Amino acid sequence: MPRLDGADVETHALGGNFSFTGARIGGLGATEYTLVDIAVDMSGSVSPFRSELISMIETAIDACRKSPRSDNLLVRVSAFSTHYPKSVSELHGYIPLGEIDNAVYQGLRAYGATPLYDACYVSIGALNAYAKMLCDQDYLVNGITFIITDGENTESGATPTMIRKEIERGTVEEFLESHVSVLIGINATNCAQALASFKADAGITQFIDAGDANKGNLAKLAAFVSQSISSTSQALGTGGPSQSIAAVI
Amino acid sequence: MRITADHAFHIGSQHLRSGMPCQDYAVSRSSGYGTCVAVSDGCSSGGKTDVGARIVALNSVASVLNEWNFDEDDVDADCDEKDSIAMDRLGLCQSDMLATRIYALVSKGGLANSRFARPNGVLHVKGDGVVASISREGRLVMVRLDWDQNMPFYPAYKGPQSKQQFIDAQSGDLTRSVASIHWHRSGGGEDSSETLERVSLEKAMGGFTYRTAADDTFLAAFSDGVTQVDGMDWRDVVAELLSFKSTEGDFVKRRMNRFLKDCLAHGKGPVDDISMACIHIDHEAE
Repeated sequence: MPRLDGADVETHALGGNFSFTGARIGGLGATEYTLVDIAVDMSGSVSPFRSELISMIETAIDACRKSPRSDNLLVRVSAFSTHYPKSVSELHGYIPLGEIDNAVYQGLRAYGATPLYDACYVSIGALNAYAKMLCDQDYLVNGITFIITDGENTESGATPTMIRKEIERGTVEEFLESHVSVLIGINATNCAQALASFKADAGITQFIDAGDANKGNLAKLAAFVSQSISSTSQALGTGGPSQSIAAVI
Repeated sequence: MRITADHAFHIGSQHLRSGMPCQDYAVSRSSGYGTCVAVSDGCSSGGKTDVGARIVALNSVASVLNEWNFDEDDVDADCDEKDSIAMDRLGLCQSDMLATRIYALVSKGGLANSRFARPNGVLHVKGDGVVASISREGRLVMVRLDWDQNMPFYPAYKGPQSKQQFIDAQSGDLTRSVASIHWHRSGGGEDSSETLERVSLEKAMGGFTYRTAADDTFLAAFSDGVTQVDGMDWRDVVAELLSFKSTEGDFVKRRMNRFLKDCLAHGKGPVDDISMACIHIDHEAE
């Protein structure tokens, strides 16, 4: 049973004491939506480029606002670190772009270790749960998940097998027309191999090594994120996922 | 009482393959005194009936909500005039206006000195098509008006000459049975029932009107595209299209989209253009 937090947003429970929020479905105006989930690493090691990382997210969100499909996007952004209770802190749930206040991203602080598996599991689980709710109300839904990290998993309750099962559930149970998941390593060249292995074990669609966390690479990353979102949204209704955008970073 | 309304229309496989436009149209609108939804189905062998269907549907709603015509004869007369004006101004001819007129309206009541001083509902078919209602108890009533040989009387045949030409084409005998009114009732804790009534040419030309009880929760209008969904009986199509998961926003479009998606997943789908418009009445809401 959802908890009402305000006029337009509801909280939904997810297994394992996790929860997420989303726009009240009854208030949504379109007939189809692309759910976008962005989980960003806020462990101690991202501290040197924290503000650039936040700026990247803001740039990607702003680019999505200019998309002709902007009215059909619902975006959730969360941060993950062991310093958060339950490892994941949701900055905002699945809400229309027009309701996102970029100021909420400025409050992020980077410290703690990296619960990467928990972050993936919660992001994908939340997207699946919300997508099912939408699908049950006759909405057509697809999704794209971005997990942005600078390192391997250090401690999590979730496992790659659990993540794989959750990824598969969406399309097997047919409440998602398609779901693309992208693991992005930033400043993570040292553990790129480990992240690539995690991608394979967890059934994540794509792994991108975005290289060093410099301004240029983060700008390209922002463009990649917004273009991938746009492509995914345009693919809605075709029966399958979008063509993957080659990440030129 | 809170009223919501929405509409949807979609091209059928026949027109899609042949490069024809969708000749169905649907519209929904509310005003202070009521809500009106309309669908119109253009004749495939007519002219620019995709345009004609839009004009007929929009004028139907305008006649009800702008002129407060809640009586079907008044709506017909007013629409005939509006359609003629539109036809002249847009340089159209009669063959472009061959489109059915099917609408549902709900009066909230309060219109003094009117037969709709109290809340009430009307469903009307001129030409061919289907209308349906669902009561608070879940009783589903659907009514289909069909013409033999698929030759309906379009509102555009209103002029004396056109009318006579139509009558002559239908054998010239006004008493001859040329159409059917098929009633289907189910649900609501009562037995299902079917009634098939044969109607004379004269009666069928006047169309079909169904006045509903004030406690209905859904009133809906459909083009005859619902009778041409590959592999599905029209009653199942209507029941499916009325199985709303929610009644907010674009609730009819969502239902139609899901219905079409489910049809195509099984290789079926609407052969003809399909359209529907629906009014939902929440009696509990303030």
